[in-house]
Amino acid sequence: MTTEFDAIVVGSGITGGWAAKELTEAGLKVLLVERGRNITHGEDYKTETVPPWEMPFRGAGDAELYARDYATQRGNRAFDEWTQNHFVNDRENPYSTAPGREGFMWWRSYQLGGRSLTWGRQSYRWSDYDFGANKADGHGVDWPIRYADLAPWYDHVERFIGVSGSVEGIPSLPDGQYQPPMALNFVEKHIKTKIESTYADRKLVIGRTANMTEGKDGRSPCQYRSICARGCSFGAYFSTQSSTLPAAKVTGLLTVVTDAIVERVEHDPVTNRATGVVYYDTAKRQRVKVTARLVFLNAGAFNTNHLMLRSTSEAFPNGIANRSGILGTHIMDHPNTLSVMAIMPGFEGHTTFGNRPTGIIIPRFRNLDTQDAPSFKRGYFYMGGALRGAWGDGKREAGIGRALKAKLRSPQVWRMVLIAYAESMPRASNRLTVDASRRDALDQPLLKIDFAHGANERAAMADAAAQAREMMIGAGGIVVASLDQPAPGGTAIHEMGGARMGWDPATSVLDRYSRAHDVPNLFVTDGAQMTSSACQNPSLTYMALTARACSNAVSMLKEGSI
Amino acid sequence: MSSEVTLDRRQLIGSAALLAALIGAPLYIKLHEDARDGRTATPDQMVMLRRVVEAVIPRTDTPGAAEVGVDGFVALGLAHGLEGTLAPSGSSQPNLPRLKGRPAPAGLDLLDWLSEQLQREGVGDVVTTTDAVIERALTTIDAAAFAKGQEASPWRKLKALILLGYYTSEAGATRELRYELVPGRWDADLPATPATRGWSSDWTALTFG
Repeated sequence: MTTEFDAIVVGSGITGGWAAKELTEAGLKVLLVERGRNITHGEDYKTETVPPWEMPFRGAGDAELYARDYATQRGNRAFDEWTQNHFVNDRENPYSTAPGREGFMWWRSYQLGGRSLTWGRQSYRWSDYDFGANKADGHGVDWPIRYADLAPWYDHVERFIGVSGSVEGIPSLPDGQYQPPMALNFVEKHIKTKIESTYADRKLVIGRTANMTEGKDGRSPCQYRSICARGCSFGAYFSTQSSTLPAAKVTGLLTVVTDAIVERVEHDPVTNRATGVVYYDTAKRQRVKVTARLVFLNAGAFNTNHLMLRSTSEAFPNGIANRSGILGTHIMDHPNTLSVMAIMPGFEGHTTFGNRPTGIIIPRFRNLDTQDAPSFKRGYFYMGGALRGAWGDGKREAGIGRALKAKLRSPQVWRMVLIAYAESMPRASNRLTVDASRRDALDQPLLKIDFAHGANERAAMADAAAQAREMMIGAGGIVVASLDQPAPGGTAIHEMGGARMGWDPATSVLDRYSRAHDVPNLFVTDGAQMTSSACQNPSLTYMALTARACSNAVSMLKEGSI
Repeated sequence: MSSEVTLDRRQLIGSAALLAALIGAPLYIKLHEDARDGRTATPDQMVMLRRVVEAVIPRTDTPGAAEVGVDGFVALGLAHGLEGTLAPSGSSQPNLPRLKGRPAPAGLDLLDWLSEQLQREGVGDVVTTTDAVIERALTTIDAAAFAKGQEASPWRKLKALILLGYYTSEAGATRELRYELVPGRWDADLPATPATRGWSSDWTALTFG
């Protein structure tokens, strides 16, 4: 069969950009389909350098507008008046949640580059504690890969995107190919010393981040502005625009269409192959059918599930590649909470210059080689950091006039925060379905999210809060806040699963190469493919899995096996 | 799918201005209409606000809040619900001071609440009274608002808006504090003295409230 393209990649975010790069560099002619508008690197970061006094609402944004149009997105820490155009309008992009459950904060970015423009940039490898977790405790199905399968692909990805971090030799958090780390500030160094001298099983290290400390490939090192989500003309953090898209374009084999919402993946029951996709061109208001030999789904975990569930046919009445009935189930998102905020007195003589775009982490120390926290399975880790307060502290204390103005002229108190992220257990009851009762502007049924954290997640959060308080008190902190319950689902922005990998086609959607068991030329390499969640940030793993899947797909294509 | 046709604020202002031009009516009609709509503060409220913001952040060796237009920003912020001002203040705390017989204030109605509080503290005519009288009254209102159990006090929201308006103004951000959009480097440990100025461009106040 003649096709217009060798491969279609649906979605241009973190993994879609990677698929486009790897496939074009292997010589394939690729169509990259993005539902949102075009954003050109640099010139379309319209608010990047605008000072607050030139913003209509001084950077805080129009709260009335946000309540109406961004009721969910406004809860994202990266959402503000400068970045609001990098987030979806909730009113125009509705989704359903299951009644009686806890709801789900689905934070989305529909534009070229997707959430690669707004992501948190924390880049961690997973270890065999993670890939072996399901098999060890029987929750979920076994991962069909182990760390050794992915290690060279982690190397490949880290070298290309640029990750700064320190080499630490921590078994649960394997070291990678790092640029020089950003430094801990004085208070963090103090806390590190206290924790590491008190607890043999714990370390406090700088966050490994896809913000570069050395320039490469025409990209500049970080300028320490920490306004990444506005878009960075320096190209100092990894995004599709700064990194993978230019690499794919230089091959001359990439075609990009934006404003194109993929409605379905087409399937030929005779050959049992995905033949392409149908998308709706929102600018020209017409449906377009495109064909290819390979289809890669990288629409973002939940939208990839949604697209597959909607792609029904006689062969696949419950969604493409869903003979198992597993599609949409076992979704996960890390339970997370502010385990501790502590004022750190005694450091008033120290300050910093510049805004470091990463914090610190305390890698997982629970339930590794022994079950040392029996109230829950698996583990959690902390992200956090010490910051000196600024004028905002004046909102929270009494005082007016000259005395207030004089006080707020100086840097305020040092605070240390630790935010715990725990593993989200894979559960069949946490699932995505198509809500046939509600439809969007294109008359497509909405995605319905049915999600709740469970007892294991709550027990992990409680332990994380207790341990965090103990560590901060031990380091001389005054605890001012400590939460032991998880924030609502979605707030980690690590939603994943639904089309999990596994050995058995009866209990999983994808094989060990991120390829659909049921449709041999259909690949899913975004968060949807995840079989378990680990506790550390997943994007680096998605990228490594994407690069690995692309390599195998190209080999299979060249061998003629697909 | 239903579609509603509503006039937004810009259209309302536009039609009022057009009317004013056509019939030669003075432009205060627009202001009056908007004020009745709850969208802008009345001239009397603006006079009060100007005195209040200056009392909270007065002119020193750098401009004060009135000089840099924080009064206008507070009115805009109230109309658009910044700092949580569209949610009724103190609705769950019946012991908070509020207007007798009226629901807990939200949006620009917080200015009615503030006016009554000032009168209760004996301010009298806000146009002619001295700075000292206003400052004394606000000190009392401020202390009451930051007492335990008064977390939802309307004054906390008003004060937050005043500080937001001032420290994100050009003078507040660059003269009172320091502003550097492109630091270009990270110095992890520098000495700080009582004379060290804080940063408006570390974004912590906007990011974390």
